[in-house]
Amino acid sequence: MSYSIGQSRSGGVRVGRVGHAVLRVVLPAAVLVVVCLAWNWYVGTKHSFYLATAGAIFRAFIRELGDGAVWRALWTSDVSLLAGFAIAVAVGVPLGLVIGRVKRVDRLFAPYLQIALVTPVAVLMPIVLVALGLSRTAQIVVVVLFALPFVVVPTRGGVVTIPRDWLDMASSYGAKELQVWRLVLLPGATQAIVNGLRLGFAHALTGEITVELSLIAIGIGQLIIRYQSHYQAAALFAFVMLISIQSIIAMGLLSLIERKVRRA
Amino acid sequence: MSSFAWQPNEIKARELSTTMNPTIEAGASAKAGSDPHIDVGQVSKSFRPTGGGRGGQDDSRAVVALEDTSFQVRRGEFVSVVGPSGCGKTTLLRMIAGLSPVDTGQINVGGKRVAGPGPDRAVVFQHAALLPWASVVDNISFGLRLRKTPKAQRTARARDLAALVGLAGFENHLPGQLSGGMQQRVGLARALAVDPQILLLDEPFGALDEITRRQMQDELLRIWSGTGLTSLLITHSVDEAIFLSDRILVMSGRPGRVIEEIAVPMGRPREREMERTPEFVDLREHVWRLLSSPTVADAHD
Amino acid sequence: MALGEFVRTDVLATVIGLLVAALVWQVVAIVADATWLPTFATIVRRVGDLLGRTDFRSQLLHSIASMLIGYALAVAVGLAVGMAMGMSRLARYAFSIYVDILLFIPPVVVTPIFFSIFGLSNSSVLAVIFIFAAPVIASTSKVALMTVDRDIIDAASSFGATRWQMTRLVVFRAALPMIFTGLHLGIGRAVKGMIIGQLIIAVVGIGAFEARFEQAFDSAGLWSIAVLVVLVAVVFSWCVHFADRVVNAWAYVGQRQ
Repeated sequence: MSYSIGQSRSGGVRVGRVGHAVLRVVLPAAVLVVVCLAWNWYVGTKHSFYLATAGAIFRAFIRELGDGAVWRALWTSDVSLLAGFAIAVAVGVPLGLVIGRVKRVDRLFAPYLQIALVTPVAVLMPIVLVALGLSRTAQIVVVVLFALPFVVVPTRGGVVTIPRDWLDMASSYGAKELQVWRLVLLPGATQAIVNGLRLGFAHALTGEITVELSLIAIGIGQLIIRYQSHYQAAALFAFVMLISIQSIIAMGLLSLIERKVRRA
Repeated sequence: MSSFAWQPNEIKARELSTTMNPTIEAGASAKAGSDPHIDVGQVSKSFRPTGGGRGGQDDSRAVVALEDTSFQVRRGEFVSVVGPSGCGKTTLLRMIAGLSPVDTGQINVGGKRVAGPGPDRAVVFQHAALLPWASVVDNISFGLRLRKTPKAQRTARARDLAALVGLAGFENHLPGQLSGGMQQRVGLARALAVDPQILLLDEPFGALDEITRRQMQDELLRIWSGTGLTSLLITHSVDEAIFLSDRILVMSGRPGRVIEEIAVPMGRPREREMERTPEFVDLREHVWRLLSSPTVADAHD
Repeated sequence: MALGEFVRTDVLATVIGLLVAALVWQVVAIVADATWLPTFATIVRRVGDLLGRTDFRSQLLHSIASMLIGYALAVAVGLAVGMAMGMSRLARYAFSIYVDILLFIPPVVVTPIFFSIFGLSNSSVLAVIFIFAAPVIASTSKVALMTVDRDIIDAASSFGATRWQMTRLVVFRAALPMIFTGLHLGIGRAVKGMIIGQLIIAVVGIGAFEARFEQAFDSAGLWSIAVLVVLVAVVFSWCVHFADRVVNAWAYVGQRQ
């Protein structure tokens, strides 16, 4: 972004437009190429069973797309993810709405929400493990713990930031509590709630992957352990890429939904 | 916070003005003859709706902000430009200031073509545009700092100007601690600090309430009359234009152009009682009629 | 001054809140009487014990040091990339998409990769902390620079600011408050990265202790670690908040706690 004060009046405007579109593609591609080359060079100097060249990773990726075991592992993890997220939403949204609406409840919960946002829920993971053992239930609980604060806080925010004018207007027309909810609070807070869903999902995702990688490996965790113990470096990297792509797609969808809601 | 805590200091103003502009007599109004100070010649400018500002008049979606606009301002003259929103007045001022390039035509200041901002012109912005982290004194001396004036010198100068605009005692305040009117005073002082030859004011009082606005108009007159700077003021307010200026340019919008130039038939110094004289009332009527005519009214946002 | 107020009210409120929490916990734990929920008093005693052990203390300090180094790296790189993106369209074209991707995926996903590259070592943890904190700092810095008030840029321009003067005197100062927001977010992420990284890589630092506690089913020990980590996170968060109020005092004029 240029802070210069004037632009020359050259007719280079049209060329500039096309030029920028080209640069938009070429520059990131160039960065990717440079990174791959640097990576390959690094792999070359290390001679480690734990590393693989960019080419090998790409080939492994293609292979995995057709491998049933890979998709089964992904799905196993996704089940915990979705279940945990659903619970977090079912509990978190109503909780957030109540906290936002009732000042006394808000004051009660405020410091813990603050702390929950800042501290890593990961520390609680071993405790959950001790309480519930190596089970899918433990996994789901972890996911819920990761996601909950990030569903509750934006929901609360959505209720709290509704303009006083709207509420005053509703009460001046004699609206009862339920009506205030239906006609003012929920519509007004919808965008924030959806934002909370997106954030909550992102954290649920983190929780799911963290627990798979560290404690309870029933889905992707198992596959990763297998790749690691068999020194299948390229497969491991490719699998990580696959998980990342799944995350990107899921988050992308949620962002799209959020944008649609904003427009409505 | 009362903004009348200061005592008018005409002598101080006169002293400052002679150090600023030794060639211009204090209190001078329009100086007839010789070259125009600002010469706008057949200037046009268009914008792409996506906010480009790169010209392209053959683009049918482009907005023509100014079309074939010409006028002149003489040395020491106070000229106001009045017109509806979107008539291109701010664009015009920005081009004279050197902040935007013209598409066609040219703008000369002091005989030289405008190619960018320069030490001869200073702008007062509608929303003050002060640096929020800097004190009043630091804000006033900002232009001098850019010119690498030594600190002691620019601080002394800034303090003098703070007093001139009635902000003595507020030198170390932050903009966030000042009212709108006070912020505008800082903006004015900042513009004066760099010894410009031309003062460009972009709806400087547009963001203020009516009472503060009138106070600031009186302030501006008081300060300006001590300097005799060539000034161009952009405003929505017909009354303000008439009260402050020697000459008024009435503009229409879309495409923006000057539809009439009117000399203000009142002497200086201006007094508030003049607002009730027949000359004032007639002139106001006339300008309003111009602004409400169908071509002009349609152009309004 | 605003500073004094901040220290007084915020600290006091949090301390009271925590005391209440401790009380409630104690009561609930006694009533529930579950093996996995030790009383607060037990945990406090355990924390005291742990802090008394030199090996635990050195592990704790080691973890905190890792976190600070990782965070410092994330700040350095994040600011550099973010500000480049904010000021140069070319830099934006080149790097935006990668920063956005990193923001989208859960950073924890790349930990197996770091494990492969750096092995079972502190460097792995550093890398994880870096990847947790850097993207958000980069992204926020970019936005901070791009959303500087155009009015003051115009004003500086009109007084003839050179490009360098504009950047140094106007743009950076104006962008600082939002950059600090990014740093604050980054701290939270760095702490998460530290814990997650060490949990997964579980060799050096607190992670080793956690793994050991698990096997012995020592829930008081686990809870102690959790409490200590929470304290660390809160303290670091305050530090950034404090620095923000000092550096950007001008932005908080007229606000009340």
